[in-house]
Amino acid sequence: MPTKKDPIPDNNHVSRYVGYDQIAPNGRITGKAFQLRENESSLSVNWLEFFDLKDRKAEIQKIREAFADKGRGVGTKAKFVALNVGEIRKYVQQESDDNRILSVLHDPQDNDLSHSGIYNMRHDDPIIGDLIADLVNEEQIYPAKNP
Amino acid sequence: MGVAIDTYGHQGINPSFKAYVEGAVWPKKSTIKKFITATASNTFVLKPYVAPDKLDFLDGLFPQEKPVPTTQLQSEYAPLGLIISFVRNHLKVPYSSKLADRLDYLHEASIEEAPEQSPISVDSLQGFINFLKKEQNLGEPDVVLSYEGNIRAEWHKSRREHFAVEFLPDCQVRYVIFSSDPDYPSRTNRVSGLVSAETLMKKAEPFNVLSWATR
Repeated sequence: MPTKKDPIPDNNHVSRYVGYDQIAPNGRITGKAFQLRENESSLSVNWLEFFDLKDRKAEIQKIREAFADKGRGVGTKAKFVALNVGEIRKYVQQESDDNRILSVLHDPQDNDLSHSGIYNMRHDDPIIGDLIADLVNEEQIYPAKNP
Repeated sequence: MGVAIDTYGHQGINPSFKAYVEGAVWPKKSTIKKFITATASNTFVLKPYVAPDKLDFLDGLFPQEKPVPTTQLQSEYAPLGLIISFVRNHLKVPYSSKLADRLDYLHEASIEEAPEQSPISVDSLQGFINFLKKEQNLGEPDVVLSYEGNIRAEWHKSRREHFAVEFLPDCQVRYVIFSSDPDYPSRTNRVSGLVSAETLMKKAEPFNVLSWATR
C-alpha cells in the first residue's frame, strides 16, 4: 500500500477537477484550473494508476465515485482533465523562468485514497498554471458528471 | 452587500441612481411599497445579484439591513445584475451581448460550484468593464473566474500568443504574457506581474500583445 507523500512515477497520470468557471467558451481549459486556492499548499489531483485498471475511462469513473463519497458535488459542465506526471514536471521545469521543479506526491485522504497533490506551486505566480494548461488537449478531457 | 433605493423619483428609484441603471427593469412601485412598509423606513436593500426580470424574492423576507443613504451609492454597491445589464445594453463593444451572456453563465456556474467557487466579485467585474471601456481596440476575450471570483480575461491564440489579465478587487491586475521572442523566434518570452490596470498596456506593449489581441 503506497504511503503518504510518496512521489508518483513520471510515467503515471493524475486528474484535476475543473469547474465550468475555469473553462473558456470554446472548451479550452485555462490556467485558472491549475491555481492554488488561498488556503491550499498543494494543487489537489487524483492519481489514476492507483486503481490499477488500465482503462482511462474506468479510472475517471473511480474519481467520480470518490468525489461522491466525500460529498464533493460536481458541476453540470465541469470536467476532469488527465495529465501525465512526467510531462507536467518536465515542461514546467523547462519553460518556467525559475526552472521550477514540481513534485507530484500521493496524499491519500480517508475517503479519497487516490488523492494526491502537486507541490512547489505558489499563490502569486500564475505562469505555472498557464504552463500546465498548455499541456491539455481534447482527448484528455472527461465530463465530471457521469454521462 | 446590497443597493439602497428610496422612494424618490420614478418608480421609487433615486433619479441619480436611475441614470446609472437606465434600461434595467425595476420592480413596480406597489411591490416596493409593500416591502417598505415592513422596514418602517423608506429604503430597502436588494440582494447582490438580481436578474432584472426575476424579482420574486421581494415577496419573501430577507434580513433587514441598515439603510444606506442614497448619497453613498457607488458602483461597488451595484448588484451584479445591474453591471451585466450595463454590459448588455451600454458597453460599446461589438461583443457586448455575448459578454453579458457569458457573465450570466459564469454566475450560474459559480452558484453550482459553491462553496469551492466564490461568486463573481463585483469590484473585479467593475475593473474589467472599466478596462474594456478604455481599451476598445482589444478583441473579444475569453472570460473565466478565479476561485475567489475575480474576472480573468484571456486573449489566447496559441501557446506563444497568450495574454491573460486577472482583475483584482483593489484595481490592480495580475497579468501573464507568453509571446515569441522577436530576436529568437523559436523561443518564447514568458512574463507575469502585478500592476495597476492603467499601466497594464504599457507593460504589454514590448511583447507585441496587440498583434494578436486586437479586433
